[in-house]
Amino acid sequence: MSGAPSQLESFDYKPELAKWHGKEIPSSIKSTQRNSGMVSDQSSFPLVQPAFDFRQYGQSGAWISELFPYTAGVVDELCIINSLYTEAINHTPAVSFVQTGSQQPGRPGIGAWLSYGLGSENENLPAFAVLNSLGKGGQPLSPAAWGCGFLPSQHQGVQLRGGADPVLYLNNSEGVSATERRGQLDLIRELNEQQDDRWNDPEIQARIAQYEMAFRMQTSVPEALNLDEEPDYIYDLYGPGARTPGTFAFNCLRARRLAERDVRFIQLYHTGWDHHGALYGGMQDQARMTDQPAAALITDLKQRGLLEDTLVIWGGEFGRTSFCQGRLTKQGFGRDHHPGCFSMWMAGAGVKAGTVYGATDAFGYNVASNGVHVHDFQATLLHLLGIDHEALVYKHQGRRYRLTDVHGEVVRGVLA
Amino acid sequence: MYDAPTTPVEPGVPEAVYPWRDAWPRNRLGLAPLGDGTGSSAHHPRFRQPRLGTALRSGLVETTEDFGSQGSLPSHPALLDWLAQWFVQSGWDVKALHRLILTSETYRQQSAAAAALRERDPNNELLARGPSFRLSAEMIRDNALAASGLLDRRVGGPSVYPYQPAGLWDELSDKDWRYQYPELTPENRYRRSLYTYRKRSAIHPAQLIFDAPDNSVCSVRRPRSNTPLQALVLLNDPQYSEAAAALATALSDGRRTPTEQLRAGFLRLTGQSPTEAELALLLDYYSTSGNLAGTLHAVMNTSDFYTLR
Repeated sequence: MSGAPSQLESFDYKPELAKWHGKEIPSSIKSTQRNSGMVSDQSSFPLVQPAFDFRQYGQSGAWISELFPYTAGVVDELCIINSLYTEAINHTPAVSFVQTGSQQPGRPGIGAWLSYGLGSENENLPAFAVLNSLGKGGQPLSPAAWGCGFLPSQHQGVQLRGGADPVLYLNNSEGVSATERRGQLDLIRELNEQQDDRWNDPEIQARIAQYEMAFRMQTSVPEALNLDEEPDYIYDLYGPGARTPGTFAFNCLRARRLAERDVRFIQLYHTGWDHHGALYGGMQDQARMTDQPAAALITDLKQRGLLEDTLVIWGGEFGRTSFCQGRLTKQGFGRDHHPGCFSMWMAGAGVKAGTVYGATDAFGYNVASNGVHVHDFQATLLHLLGIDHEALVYKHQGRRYRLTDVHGEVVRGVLA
Repeated sequence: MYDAPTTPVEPGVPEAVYPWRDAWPRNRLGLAPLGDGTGSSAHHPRFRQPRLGTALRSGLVETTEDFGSQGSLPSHPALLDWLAQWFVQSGWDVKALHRLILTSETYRQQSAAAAALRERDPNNELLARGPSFRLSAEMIRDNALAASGLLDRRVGGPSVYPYQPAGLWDELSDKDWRYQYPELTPENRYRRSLYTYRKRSAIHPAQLIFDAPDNSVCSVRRPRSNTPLQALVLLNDPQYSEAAAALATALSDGRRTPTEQLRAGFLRLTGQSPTEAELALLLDYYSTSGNLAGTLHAVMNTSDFYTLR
């Protein structure tokens, strides 16, 4: 959820703010957090009450905003964390921090670490797949967030695009028929075998295998991504966008097919959550596009018996301020970047389902209990996948690197 | 925090490691006097090392990027010292150093090796055989362009925009002020890969697939991976089919027999003549398909094309 969805309009219910609506945030509260330069010329910082109604759902009694009715419907599968905090205050470094453990680009992303640490269970598909919602506007995405950093390039995230060429260079060049290509591949193999006889170089055998895999990928990738065989009730589950390439719903459905085929890590990006203004309408639009498909993914994985060993995570790169950015009108108000607290949810493998973890203060401005730093979150994520975050290291330029750098504690409270 | 600085910090060297003279600039220039032939030679191998790394797959110290306590020990410390002294005495002549290394018997050895030797020394640390490694992203493309006669050898000038799958940058942002990949123009199509534009957040995908770093941070040593996506680039990037077609056209001058065409094409692409067995395979494919470009394109997908032997 790139751009940072407002926790105050989604999962962190702050009814006290109604009493403070339009009143200045106490300076004793405001000064506890760094604010972005985008509100530096504001002379007044009135608090804004949640723009939407909240209700309690499920056995956990979790408070969820009316914008997310489908997510509310699967709340007993979720562990909602309301006490995340980060160090970054702008999008690109913050996304990089969540994805790679460092605000500066150049480190491997989570998926690259998992590909490196756990390997692939399906050699005919990339271990780390990236699916982006198209035409969303908002902050641009940086492919560095799914890069392999200093790890070898087989660990980089492979963007699976909409349309006829889902993986770059996957299709035979124009005018080359499948028969022709097969003949060419046979010739390549025979030549490589000759060269192997001459040079006795183990690298050549590996190359021969990679060419065969490339050929199989030409079939397996389109097959994995082909939604034609999905029945209508599945499309209905994921919602109205599910038949339109490039939507979040379409990508959630693709993600399920990739998960079924043992792709190790699937990253979906949906931009457009950066509501500095017009939050009221913007949040409704964004929720409409993402709520039903995200919940459908949980339901669909569960009905296939996949949820127990698949970890699903929903979240952005930071939170949004409880005070107003811009003019305080219902349609016009916005909320600025806020690293001090934000919400995510996790579901599936090893997660304590039906819980809410951590809390913020009455203003929704600071973590009040059980704070989860981004590195703690990453340590927990790796733990859930069977990895000790302090042991998964890669030596580069003279030191050992980890996803969690030199930080991170596993958050025991979210484990089943 | 970056917006609340406290104590000013400057570059320096711990006193216990090397006492710094005030007159020396506090940067790499300050380190240079150490290489004047009077001091320890421990510092210049650092400069020389990547050179040797380029030529021999890895340097005499495997961790080219790290000469410190966390790095590997040199495999041939005496040779390293000798080369360092030689380099200083040559007047820091980089070209002469390259010549010395590339004309050495060690470098000119065959890279073929018996299984027993490979088993004893899989990484060739002892240099008992010639170096052998997959070329870098830039070298592979340049090699295809050079072999086919397409390579534009002009030096200098602004970066250029060769083939890149359409729409790639547009998927990252739909803002109207986004930076768009300019249309391919004939005059920048075949420049050396060194000149390919490097957008830091989205470097050319074919380069990335062959382990080019993303330029966000300094990178001294690249991994050399071996992946199916690399096969797909060599098979389907139009750069390579175009180079194969250009080479086929150049060899179809009406004066060469098919055997001569294939011999010459193979030599251009791999730097060596095909064996009889290879030639037979090539001839068979060529005579059946009638497609010289397709045959040469297949050669570009074999290890002798993208591997230094």
